[in-house]
Amino acid sequence: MEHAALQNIVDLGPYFSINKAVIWMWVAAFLAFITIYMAGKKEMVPGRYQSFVELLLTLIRQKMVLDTMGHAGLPYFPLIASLFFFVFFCNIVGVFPLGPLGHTATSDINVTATLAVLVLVIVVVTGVRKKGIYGYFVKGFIPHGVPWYVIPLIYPVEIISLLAKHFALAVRLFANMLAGHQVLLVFTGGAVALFAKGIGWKLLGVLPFLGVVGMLLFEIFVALIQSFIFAILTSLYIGDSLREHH
Amino acid sequence: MELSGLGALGAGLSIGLAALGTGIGMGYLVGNAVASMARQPEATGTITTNMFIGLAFIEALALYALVISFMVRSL
Repeated sequence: MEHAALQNIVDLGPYFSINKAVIWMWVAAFLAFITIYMAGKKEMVPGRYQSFVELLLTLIRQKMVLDTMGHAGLPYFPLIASLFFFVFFCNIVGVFPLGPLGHTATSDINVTATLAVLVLVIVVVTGVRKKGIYGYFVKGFIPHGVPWYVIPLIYPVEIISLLAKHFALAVRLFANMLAGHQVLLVFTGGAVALFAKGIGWKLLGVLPFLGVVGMLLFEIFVALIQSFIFAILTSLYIGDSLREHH
Repeated sequence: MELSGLGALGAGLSIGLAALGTGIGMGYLVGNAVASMARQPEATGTITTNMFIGLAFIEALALYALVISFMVRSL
C-alpha cells in the first residue's frame, strides 16, 4: 500500500536526477509530439487521422481558448494545447498495468506543482504585460467599488486567493491521479487475496475483479477529464489577467 | 509511528464527511445543469463546459480531504 519512493536511475544530485517519473514524462512528451507531428502533413485532403487531430485542436481552440479568453488569447493556444496533450499522455501512460515499471508522472505532487507554478508565472507575466505593474498588482487586486477602509483587508485575501487557485490546480491533478491508483490497488489487493483462498472465496473474488475492470475504464475517462480541466482552468486564469475588468 | 485508533478514525471520517458534502454539491450542480439543458437544448455545449469546470472545483474539496487523510494515515 505504501507509495514506493522513486529510485534514481541516473544520479545527478537532488534536483537533476533521472528517475521513473522523468522517463515517463519524456515518453508522454514524445507521444504528444508524435501525435501532433504525424497530423501536420499539410495535405489538401486530410486523411482520417489528420482530420481527427484537427478536430481535436479545433475543439481546444474554440472551447478552451476562444470561449474563455476571446481573440486576445489566441497567442496562448499553443501553450494550452501543449499542456492538454502533455498532461493527458502523462495520465494515460500510467493506466497501462506495467507492474513496477509503470508510473504516472502526474501522481507526483512535484510534477503537478511545477506545472502549476509555470501557469502562475505565465498568468502574472501576462497580467503585468497587459496592465502594467501598477495596474495588475494594485488595481487588479482590488475589486471595483470597495470603500477605502476595506482595502487593507481585501488585498491580502485577493493575493491568497490567487495563490490558492494555483495550489488547487496542482493538488487537483495530483490527488485525482493518486486516488484513482489507490482505488485500483485496493480492488486488486482484494481480488488477489480472495483468489488465493478456497473455491467459495474465489467466486466472491470475481466482484473486486469486476471493480478493477470498471475502475480502469473510469481511469481512462478521468485521465481525459483531468487534462481537459487542467487546460481549461489554465486558460480561464490567463483570461482573467488578460481581461480589462472594472 | 504506529497509527492510533482515533487517528485512523479521523482519517476515515475526513474523507467520508468530505465525500458527503461534495456529493450533495455535485448533485445540485449536475441536476441543475441537466434541468437547464432540458429547458434550453441549444445551450448544451456551454452548460456542459461550465458544469465540468464547476465539478472540478467541487471535486477538489473532496480531494483535499483525501490528501489530508493520506497524511494522517502515514503519520
